[in-house]
Amino acid sequence: MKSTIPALFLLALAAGIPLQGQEDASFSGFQFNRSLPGARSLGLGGAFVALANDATAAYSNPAGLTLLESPEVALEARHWDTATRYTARGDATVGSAFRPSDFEIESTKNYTAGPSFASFVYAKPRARWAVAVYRHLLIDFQSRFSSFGVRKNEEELFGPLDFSTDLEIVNFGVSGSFRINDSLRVGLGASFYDFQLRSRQIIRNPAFTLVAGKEGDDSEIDLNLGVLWEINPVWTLGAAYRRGPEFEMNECFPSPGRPCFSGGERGERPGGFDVISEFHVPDQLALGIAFQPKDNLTFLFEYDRIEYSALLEGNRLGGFTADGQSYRFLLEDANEFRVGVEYLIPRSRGESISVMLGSWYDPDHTITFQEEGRGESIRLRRAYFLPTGDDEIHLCAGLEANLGRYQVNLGVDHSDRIGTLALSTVVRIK
Amino acid sequence: MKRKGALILLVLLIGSGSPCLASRYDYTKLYQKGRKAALEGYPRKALFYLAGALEQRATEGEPWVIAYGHHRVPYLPHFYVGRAFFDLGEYDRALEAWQESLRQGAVKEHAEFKELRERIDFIEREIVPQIAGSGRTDLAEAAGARSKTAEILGALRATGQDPGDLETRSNRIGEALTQAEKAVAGGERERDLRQIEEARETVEAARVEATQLLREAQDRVTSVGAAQVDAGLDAALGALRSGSCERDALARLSALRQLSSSRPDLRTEEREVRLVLGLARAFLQCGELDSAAQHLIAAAHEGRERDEVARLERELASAREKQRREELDDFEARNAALTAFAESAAVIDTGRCDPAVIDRLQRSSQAVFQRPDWRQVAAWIAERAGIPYIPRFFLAKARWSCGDAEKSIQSLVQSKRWQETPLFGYELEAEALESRLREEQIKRFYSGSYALVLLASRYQRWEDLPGVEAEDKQIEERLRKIGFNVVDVVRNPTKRELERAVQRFIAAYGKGAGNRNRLLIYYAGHGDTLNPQYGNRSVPLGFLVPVDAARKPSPGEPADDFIESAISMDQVEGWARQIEALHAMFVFNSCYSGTIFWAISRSRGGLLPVVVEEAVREPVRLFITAGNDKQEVPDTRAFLKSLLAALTWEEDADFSRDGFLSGSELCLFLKNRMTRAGVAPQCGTMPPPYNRGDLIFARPPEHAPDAGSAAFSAQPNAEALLAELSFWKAAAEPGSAEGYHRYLERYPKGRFAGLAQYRLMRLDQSDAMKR
Repeated sequence: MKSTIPALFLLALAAGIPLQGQEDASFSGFQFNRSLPGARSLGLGGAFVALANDATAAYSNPAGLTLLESPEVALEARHWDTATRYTARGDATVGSAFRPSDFEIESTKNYTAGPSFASFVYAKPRARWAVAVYRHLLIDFQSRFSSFGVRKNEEELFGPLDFSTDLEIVNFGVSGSFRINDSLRVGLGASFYDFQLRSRQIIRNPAFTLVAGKEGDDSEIDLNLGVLWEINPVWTLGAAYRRGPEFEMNECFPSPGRPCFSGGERGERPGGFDVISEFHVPDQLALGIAFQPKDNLTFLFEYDRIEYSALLEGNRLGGFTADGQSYRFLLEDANEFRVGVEYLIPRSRGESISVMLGSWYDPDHTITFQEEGRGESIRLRRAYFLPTGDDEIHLCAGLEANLGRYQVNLGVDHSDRIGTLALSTVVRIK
Repeated sequence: MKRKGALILLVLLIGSGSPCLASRYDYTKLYQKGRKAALEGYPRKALFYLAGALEQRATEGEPWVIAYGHHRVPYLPHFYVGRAFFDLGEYDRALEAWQESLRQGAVKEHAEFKELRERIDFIEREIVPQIAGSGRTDLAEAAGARSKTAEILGALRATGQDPGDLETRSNRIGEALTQAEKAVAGGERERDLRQIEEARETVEAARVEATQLLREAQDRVTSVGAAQVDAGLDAALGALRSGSCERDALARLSALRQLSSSRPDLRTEEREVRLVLGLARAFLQCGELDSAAQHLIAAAHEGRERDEVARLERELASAREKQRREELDDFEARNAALTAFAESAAVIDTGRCDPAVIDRLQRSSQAVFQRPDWRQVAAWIAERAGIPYIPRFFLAKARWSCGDAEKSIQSLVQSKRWQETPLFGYELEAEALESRLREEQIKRFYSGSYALVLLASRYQRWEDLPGVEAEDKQIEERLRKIGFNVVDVVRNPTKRELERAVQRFIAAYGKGAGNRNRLLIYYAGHGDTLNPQYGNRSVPLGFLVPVDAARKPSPGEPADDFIESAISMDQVEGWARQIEALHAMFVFNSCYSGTIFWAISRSRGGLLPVVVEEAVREPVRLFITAGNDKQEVPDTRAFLKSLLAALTWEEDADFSRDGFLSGSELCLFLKNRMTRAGVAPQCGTMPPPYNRGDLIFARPPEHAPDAGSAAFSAQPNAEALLAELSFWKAAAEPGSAEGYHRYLERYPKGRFAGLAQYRLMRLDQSDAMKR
């Protein structure tokens, strides 16, 4: 089974290394919702850190909270459409080495939808400070697929495999902003992250069935920081640092007589050993600039540095094959570039229609396979993990109807692999 | 590359603080930034950005500008400039900016208006007296320095020295201080901060010069010798030999005494006694007996010049006797004036019109006004009798009773200017009188108020409107109640009848240069909107529907018949332009009538707040419609009910609490009220100059706050009051203690009780003096 592993989505999760020489890694993709909350932000290609001027700033860049002049509530629901590619089957002929063409790649679509963000901001015009509470769904990923296994010379190297993952990370946060002077604002937030993971890989060999998997139920508190500097009436700089939490999870690798999870399916052959691994959500540093030549026209640019490499820290990717060959996986940090433009068309009095367009560059952050040997099992893996990831350009658009105290936004973000649709509202409380 | 980046950053940094760059930014951004800075407490920054915005656009109201996020706010740079100046403590400039904002008028439609009024009120109530107080303190300090200089100059003159230009300079300072004092008092009275601030600048300059002058005078006086003092003393004593009040000699002697105090080297026992005796005589000759006695005691203490001392003592005793007699005469005059007030007030309180009483009260109040000591006594008496000494108020009341509204207004304005305080239950009466007089003043601004009522209920091709018939019964009566002369009520007009009625009305009441009429055209009936397409744009066109109008065309049908038989809003606008009268209000209580539009405007002196007075002086064509251009108005006629309730003050629509209902406030009230009922009334004016004024309706007296029980009317106990007045006159006529006791026994808390007590007290004093 093979998967393009957008690193983000990688799986630290991924894979176990089954004992008995059974083949190891099974990867599956899942989507971090590292994009900022709010359909407006989504429509602007996520380039919101230098704007941060509505209730979604509670998470995006808390420094922007003091821009608000009255309490606000923000609510958002999202729909994610994620394509996961995997190796449905592999079959090499006698005497030949494995080649990529020996693997049959399929794709499965995963859909997730639901409330993704809610915040309440308390702000007053003259106050030097503002505070907010929020709930943010960082990840909600579900994936299920089955593979027929990998064979060579009619010999089954990997048995048919069923893979399922349920992962959810919810962030309950409180953030505050302080106005240092009329141009400079700083923000600080503390988040309580709740992590829930259940992943299973059921490998069906003719002789036995192995159940491997991962389980996690952990929580952690982490900080995020923000700063907003209005250089002059038209230029604003923004920066935010969001520290990703680290969670503990149990990984279990099947072994005869060593059951992984109690209450396994009838006929399964439980066993293995438990290890404690870490799941580190990548840290993110965002630097943005906003140019507003007029009050209703905004151009945005943002650079994000995502520390994807953290995903591989603290877990057991890599190892030794049954024939003593060593290998490992690499994942590099990514530099994302985002641009957005927003144009507001005034209607009567306080009402308006706004159009947002955005795009962002999502560099390839596929896990790469590095081997230190030349045995057949290594060749198998090299072919199996042949990098298939691509840089991606996301195209984003958004529309807003502002009815005075209420604004309703629709945002969409499209790329070859992921589609996100968001509907959000911001309500200003007099 | 790095250097280039740093250069860009430097340019940006400089750009943020450079005034010359401010105007390079779009005014929306400058306003956004300036408003934010003003709200966040950075007034200097706010002024910087707002000045840039104002350079580009100085008209308030439109457009609406993004405040933050996508929250948009109206463009009100003058208001925020005022706010910034207010935060900087530059209240005069704040007032200037706010007055401009008020003059433009847009601020009145927004939440900022409440804050503006509160802050102006705060400045007038707290800041003006405070700054005027500081001004007086500065004045006192400058006057103190000048007074000391004057004493020294007096000593120089008394010793035969020439003060030279010191005298001229001192006089100039004195004049400047006098002018400044007047300016401070005037500024406080007129709530004119700029005037007070300018006066303070004058005072500060005078204070600096007075201090310098004092130093120079002190230097000069050190050169004076004993011979010069003696010569001066001889000259002053010589002048006193005339036997009359010699103020100049008194001043010289005082100056020599001062000099002697400050220069011990010049002091001898003999010179001191001559000085003191000279002062005693000078005071005696000028009638200042206590000061004379004081100096005589000092001279007697020295035991010298015994003959002269004894002579002066005899003269002093004789002068005291003469003074007592004058005091008694003064008491009688004062007593007569205060009695005249009390008795006149009693008659006025009965509600009678008696010109003789007005004349007596006016003469007595003038006499009391010239004597501050008499006013103190009047206050003492008032406190005991429960009749406040407020003669101008009583004059206003009496003149109102005699139907002389104009003089009544003048008296009430004087009463307020002189800060007469109606107490002891007269507060509510004063409020009610003021309301009536305000109403009268508004009437005087308008030479006439005329209304035309058009009611269409029975239609030939449209559904009948039974609700409009119901209006018929109340609209005419209620409009009359608020002072409108309803010149015509046209029921079920055809197009031709409607047009002729309006044109007749405009010709009769709306024409003529300088026409100060207030016109109201009220239409109730069907209204409708067509949406003809011009290219890809649809422009709503509103119509009033007379009873013979063709039915409304269905979509796709030609609309020619309907357009020809209905009255378009363009035609209504044409009528509005034909009107030359000061103010005209069109009220359309009909469906889809909101195709005629809106804006607003206004704002000195007398009983009217500045804002109101400006509003009534400027023209306005105000349109009020029951719904907007897309809205059907329910036939419940809730709109009319709310409109009449506001106009007749049955419901309080006076948001500014100034006792006047403006067209703007009426609109706001109707919007608040009707929006709850699912209808969106629209208000608007024609473009300038037809939006500079505002219609003003004064609060009727019966709706003055808490005036229900104290409606301005004759005292209900007029007979009892007249009986008390008769009893008082009979008891007081002999001028004996017995009579006053008899009055007090019968009316211990009567309205002449204070006067009776005062006279008894004086009788006791007289007896004691005689003994």
